[in-house]
Amino acid sequence: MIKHTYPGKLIVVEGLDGSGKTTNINLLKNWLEIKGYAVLASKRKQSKLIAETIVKAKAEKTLVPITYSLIHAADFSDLLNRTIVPALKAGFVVFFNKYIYTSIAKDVLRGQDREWVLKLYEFALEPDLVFYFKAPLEHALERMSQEEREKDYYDSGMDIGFGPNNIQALKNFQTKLLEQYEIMADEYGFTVVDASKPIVQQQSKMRQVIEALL
Amino acid sequence: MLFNKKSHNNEDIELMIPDIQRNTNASHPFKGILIAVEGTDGSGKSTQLGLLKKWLESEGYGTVLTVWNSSELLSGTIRKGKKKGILNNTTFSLLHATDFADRLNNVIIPALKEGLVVLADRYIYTALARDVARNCDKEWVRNLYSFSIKPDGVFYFKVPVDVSLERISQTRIPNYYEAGMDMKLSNDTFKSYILFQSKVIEEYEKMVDEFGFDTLDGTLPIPVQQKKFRQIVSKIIKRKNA
Repeated sequence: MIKHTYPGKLIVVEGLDGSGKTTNINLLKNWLEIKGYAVLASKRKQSKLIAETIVKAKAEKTLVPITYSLIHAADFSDLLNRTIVPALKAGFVVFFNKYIYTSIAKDVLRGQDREWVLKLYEFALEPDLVFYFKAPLEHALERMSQEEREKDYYDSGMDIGFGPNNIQALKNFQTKLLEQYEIMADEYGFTVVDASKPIVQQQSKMRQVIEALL
Repeated sequence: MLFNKKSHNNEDIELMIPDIQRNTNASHPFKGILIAVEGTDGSGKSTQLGLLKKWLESEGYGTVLTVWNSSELLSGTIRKGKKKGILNNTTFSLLHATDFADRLNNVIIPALKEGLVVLADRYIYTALARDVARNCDKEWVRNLYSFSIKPDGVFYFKVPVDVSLERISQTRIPNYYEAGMDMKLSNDTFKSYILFQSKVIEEYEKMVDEFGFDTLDGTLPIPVQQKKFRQIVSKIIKRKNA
């Protein structure tokens, strides 16, 4: 990963779906904007050029693990180049919901060699901060099932046989994903946020860390 | 990509994940034959490949032609990105790798399994030459394409850069990325083309020995090149079927 020297700050939030990432990012965004900071909240699959292609390919189930990996890397590269870097140059605080750590975890679960994926994402910028929302699996699954949006074929790892049906696959896949996050939390020194605590307490911890950074 | 059953140390799940070949120097295990042509635009490689295809079919071989940047999945996206000139070198590289991976999976490997002769108009060496000429890190690009399979023959059609430019300018002006305009080498399309494609040629030249390309002189008369091309392909087929 490349260390950036831009005036802005890149703050990454990682963790299972349903761990409360989006809620917390929104609260932080408001908080910082009131303090006078310009904030950009970003996430994967938002590159104008490639995101549509991914959505279509996923709907048609035409991606295999290698193309799944590469097309997401291309999407990330486009987003980084045309959205994130310009914002950092302009001095924004950029929040990124699920950065390359999620991509690495998912690719590894899809059978890619870990070293290969790490090298693939070498072009990414090293974040100034990584928050990891640590939630027990049951907690995250419960929240996921409450969400209207159903996990698709790929998000539940059905494409590589993680389960005979959506629910079983989702559970298996998220279990393995959680293991990958835990490994990386140590390896990369993520700042752990206990997602089972009340949101106010989560916010208070995150705000302290961010204030120290800014 | 051979699918092998692999377990993630969880007795409940048997995953179907690809056994990805990470050694691009090893020969592929399929019964078909993979022939790739490389060279700059205007080197005559597509013409030569078209003639080879006709000949192979007349000899009774089933063939499949696969062209760089032509996957159903992504070629439209790449075209759009190129037209707008918004791709940086990394995105450009990753999109082409995705396109290649899609064709490898959906076209090249299935055809090789069937025992067909696959004719690839540009292969990974195009990316290795172009992306590096575009300042992507060489080791990064090689790692990126390490999922590919090694062709049974790679033919490099060598022409000087001015011949390449002269040939393509007879029908069109080089486009933004062909001319390497994204590299800001020159504001003049033609000058930029010469500068950029010279770097591409330099990268190709470095790979000739490393990957064992057969070099064909793209300035010779077409039938002369074709004759040599067929001779070498015949040998490759004989060796494979021996």
